[in-house]
Amino acid sequence: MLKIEHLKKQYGSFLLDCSMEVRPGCITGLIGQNGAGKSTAFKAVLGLIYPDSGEITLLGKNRRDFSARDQENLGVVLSDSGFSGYLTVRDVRKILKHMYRSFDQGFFMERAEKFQLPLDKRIKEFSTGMKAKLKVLAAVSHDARLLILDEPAAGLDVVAREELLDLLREFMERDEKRSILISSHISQDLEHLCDDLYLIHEGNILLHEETDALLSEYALLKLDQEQYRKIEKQYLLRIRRESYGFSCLTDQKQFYLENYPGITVEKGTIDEVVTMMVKGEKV
Amino acid sequence: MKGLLVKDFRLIAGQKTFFLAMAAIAAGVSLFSGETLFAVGFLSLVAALFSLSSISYDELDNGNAFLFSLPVSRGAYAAEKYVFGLLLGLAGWILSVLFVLGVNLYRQAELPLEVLMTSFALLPLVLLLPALVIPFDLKFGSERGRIAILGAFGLIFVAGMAGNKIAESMGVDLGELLDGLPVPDLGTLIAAALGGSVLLWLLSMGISMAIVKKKEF
Repeated sequence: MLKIEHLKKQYGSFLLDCSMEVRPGCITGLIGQNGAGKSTAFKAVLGLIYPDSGEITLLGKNRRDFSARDQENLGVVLSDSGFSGYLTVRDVRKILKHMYRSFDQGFFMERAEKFQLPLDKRIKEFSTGMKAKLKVLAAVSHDARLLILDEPAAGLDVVAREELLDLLREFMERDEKRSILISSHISQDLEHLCDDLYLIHEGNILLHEETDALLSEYALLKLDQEQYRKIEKQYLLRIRRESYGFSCLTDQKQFYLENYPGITVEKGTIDEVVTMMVKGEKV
Repeated sequence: MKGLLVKDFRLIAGQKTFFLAMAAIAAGVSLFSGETLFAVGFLSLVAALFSLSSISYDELDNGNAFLFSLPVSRGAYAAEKYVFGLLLGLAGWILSVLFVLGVNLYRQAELPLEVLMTSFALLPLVLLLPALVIPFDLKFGSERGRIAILGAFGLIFVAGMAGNKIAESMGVDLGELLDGLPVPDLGTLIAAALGGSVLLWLLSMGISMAIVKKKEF
């Protein structure tokens, strides 16, 4: 669906250097702090910026050969950009109808009403939640093969977030070959939605893992000085000094549970894994 | 391009009051001052230059980034601004010409043919003004574009002055030279002006397409 190979883009002292892949039928998440490079990577994929080097293959085509017609196969949400605030939902419907050959007007209007989006009010007068719902609704209403969603749920309350995530799940259920690339700095959103996750930090991919593996095989070991000295360090990804000794991140939870029954092993949440990968030291 | 045109027409639909005010000013001046042709120049140009406002609308809140993630090619985006300006300019021109013809017929003031010829003489401006301004707006953005175009006009003025001085120093009187040129009839002149404007309009469109293709959002 999407393959990014050694994509590089320099902005002053910031260098994006990333490789990643979104497979057919998968929801891939990109987690990173603000300024980590998520939006830059997305913009390169969408052709909004020109990479300094690297290759992007999108739906089987090189990004450079991607035409406006090919673009119809993408559904896009950008965190810092959207339809003009001077348009209304009815205007958006008319515009999308003329932009996408497969635009499903009935679905769009039905969902707009379900989400209680005012049809004749200017978008700039919408709440954050309404704007976010409209963006995602527009992205899923034209039979796209790949959704590229940059922080689609930013600034939303729990209920609105869940409604959006349901819309995305429904999108995936309609065709098993569809895929989604989604970024968020709220890992909980991605934990329940994504098949695999990439962690990006300061322009580099620090980690790529299946979500199930991340939740089942990653763990935090809480060790005192003596335990740390004796423990096998081959499977420790990161360590952090704590008041009690060391906190260690591993992707081999079972190994430590079986071989070191006396140590404290905590199931790692995605947030903890992210924090350790970003702030911990390599062994 | 159709989707872009729909977007721009939906955006100007929100500017109905502005257009009505402009039409009222043009009608007022035409009716009370007797300068009926003012309406033609004024309304056509205001309408044609609305393509610049649509560029500002697109830029607002980083809107271009999202716009170019839709099935919109960069070349088509630039071309659409010209087509949009042309459609509006022509609509403004036709409506104002009809208005002026009506007023003149009612007053039996001027021969409609003469009014029509003068109106046609204004038509190249509908093509030329957007052609001059759009590339600057697309290159530098709406705000800086205005400054850039003032600078460009200043440069053209200085270059003209310098050319005149150089010609003078070489003993050539440019004014006399121009006066000496054969004067074609008004119809030929208008046709030539229109033809030249179309060429410049297309050239400007090509430049704008190249500008947008290089931009990053």
